[in-house]
Amino acid sequence: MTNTAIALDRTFHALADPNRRAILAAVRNERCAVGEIAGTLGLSQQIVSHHLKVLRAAGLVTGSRSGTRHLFAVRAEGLSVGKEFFDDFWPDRLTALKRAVESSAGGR
Amino acid sequence: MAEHRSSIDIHAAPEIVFDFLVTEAGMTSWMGQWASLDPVPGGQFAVDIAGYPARGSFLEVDPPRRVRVSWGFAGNESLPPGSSTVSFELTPTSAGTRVEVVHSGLPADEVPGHIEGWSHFLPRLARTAVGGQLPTDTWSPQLSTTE
Repeated sequence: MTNTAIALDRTFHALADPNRRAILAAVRNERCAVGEIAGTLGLSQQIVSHHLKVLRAAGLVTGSRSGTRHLFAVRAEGLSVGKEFFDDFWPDRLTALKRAVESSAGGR
Repeated sequence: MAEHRSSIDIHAAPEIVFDFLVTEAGMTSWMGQWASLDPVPGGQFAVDIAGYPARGSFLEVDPPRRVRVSWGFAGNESLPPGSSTVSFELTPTSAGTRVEVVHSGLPADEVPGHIEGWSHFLPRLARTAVGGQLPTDTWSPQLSTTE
């Protein structure tokens, strides 16, 4: 697999979970500590920590320190995967169009 | 709103290329597995791509120069049917035709608000777009707490 394919798989795997999507939504607008996220979503801190680990590995959230508090926020670059996907989609489709036209028409 | 542009040179006349954009057999030979097309302004544009229903309508049909369709996915909140626009511009060249596709109105720039929607259809689409066979169950929306 290419690095892009691996990154795509990791991102989609991370997103393919309702709790992880809820956590992303919770840290979308402001940085939050694990306890705050857990309280907002009604999940245990262990579960939230686990999901944050997966999200961080996929590059979807980033952590930072504020004094003694460890805060998490959405990482915008990690969310560009949808855009990048369409960057590949149409070139791939056009290549398929070229192949289909030229094989059926036998050139012009 | 994001926009994507891409182009390719095809060794065939614009009239020939045009048919691949507006006929069902032509369309499914390069995109999707099933299509229902009514290529008149306001007519239906429906193509199933890897089980994902791309839906919209023809906005402009100008043979053999230009086709514009509205584009979205049925059941997809971030990109509902008809929510974005795809245009195909065909320009005659010495070797045949240059096709430029412009996909505009995509919500990619607002992805944080569209995570749910994107994650529903992109994985399967990504696989089929690179020519891969679709495994049935590698992607699951179910909660997993064991990894």
